[in-house]
Amino acid sequence: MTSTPNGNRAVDNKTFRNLFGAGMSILNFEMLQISRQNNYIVKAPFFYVMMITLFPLALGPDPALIEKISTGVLILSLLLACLFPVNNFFESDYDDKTLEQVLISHIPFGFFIFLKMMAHWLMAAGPLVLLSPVVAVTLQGHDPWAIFFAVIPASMLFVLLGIMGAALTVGTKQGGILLALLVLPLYIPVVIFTTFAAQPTLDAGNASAALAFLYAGLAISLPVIPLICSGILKMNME
Amino acid sequence: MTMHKYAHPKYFGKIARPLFWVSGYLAVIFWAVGLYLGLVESPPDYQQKDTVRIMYIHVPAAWMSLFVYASMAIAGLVFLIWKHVLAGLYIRSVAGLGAAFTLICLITGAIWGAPTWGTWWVWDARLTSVLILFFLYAGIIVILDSFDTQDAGLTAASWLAIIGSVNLPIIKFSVDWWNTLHQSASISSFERLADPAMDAAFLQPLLIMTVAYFCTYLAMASVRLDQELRMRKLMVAGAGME
Repeated sequence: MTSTPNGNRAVDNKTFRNLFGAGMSILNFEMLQISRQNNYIVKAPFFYVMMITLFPLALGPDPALIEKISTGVLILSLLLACLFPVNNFFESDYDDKTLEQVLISHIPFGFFIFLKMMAHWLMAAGPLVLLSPVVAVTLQGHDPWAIFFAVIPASMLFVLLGIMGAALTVGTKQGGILLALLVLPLYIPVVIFTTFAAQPTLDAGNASAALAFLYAGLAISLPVIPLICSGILKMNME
Repeated sequence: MTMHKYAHPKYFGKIARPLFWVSGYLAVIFWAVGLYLGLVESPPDYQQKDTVRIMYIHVPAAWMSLFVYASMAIAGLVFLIWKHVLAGLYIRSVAGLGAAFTLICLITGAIWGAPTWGTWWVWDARLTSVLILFFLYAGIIVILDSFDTQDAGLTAASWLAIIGSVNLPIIKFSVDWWNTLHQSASISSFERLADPAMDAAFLQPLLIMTVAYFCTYLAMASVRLDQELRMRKLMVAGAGME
């Protein structure tokens, strides 16, 4: 990484290009690492589909009943499939001091975390998002597109909030239940609005209002949560 | 007068005991007077009859649960910015107290709901958001002791308290934003105290009970904080011995 000759870091065109390049290579590296080391790309979609399959089997295949409960079933399965891979999200980078190296480098720490989150969302939640409309067809009475556009912000918010919980619990060595306990209360509004947005029995006005709330929440969370995470991690590493 | 000097652990150690005794005695007096006025003296509601008396336990508990959480979020900010030990220990001291107030609020609310609404629990916005508040308290209590060092736990709990404070306006305005079973506020602001949507015969015991709850909080928080400070001193001394 080159800096300007006198060593200051004015944001000129070159710095921006360098930052962009660094960002792209971080994103690339993270996604490569996920695809090579973690097999939750395969596990999470399987878990998701199996979870949804279990509900009709347990409750009986009555189409009227399934139509009523399917939105909730879909969203809660998505929630769990997004929550489990987030566990110990920062653990390996924290243990091998990668985070400290990024902290003293020229890359803004929040930016790095944002890219890590995006890589995780693309690799872990992306398949779930793509599967959702297909799954929705098997659950009676759903508009696949309504599910698709509700599941995009929902999965992203599940991942972002989950990673915030992972930042809080980094170094505790217990993860799991503790993470779920911290994060589930924060998931409740997302669950409520996603259910409203995807509910086939609801009238269109209410559904689109809930969808707007979801995207508004995402617009706030996307820049703010990486900054909160970077604050938490910086204090943890002091 | 400079209040902030009492924020120094040494000075707080001096005022903790007097604060406990004064607020403790006041709490006993106000509880006695408030309960007498509320349960015996005040008239039954023309519609709810005697069940309205649950209000004198329920409403102050709800107010205190919000107040304690807000104070924890502010203490969390102070701890994160200035690394003020007392602020961090304050979170440790009152988290359980706040959870208890929230639980009292939820339970008395259920008992009140059974005869008046015909159900113990509904999933309306106010009830659900208060339940979330209880879960947030639980999360803070759990995370406080999940780390190797006390300070790491205090830092994480401070962050969680601040993040969770987005729930407070949701609780406050849930009865206005959504059409729910829970009634909207009868005393919506301090100005409305002079002109509330309830009769003075109900308002007077309610306010006395609120003072009683607040004195209880002061007494318990001061004694818990004093205890946490002493524990911390022992821990520091123990670390110095090694």
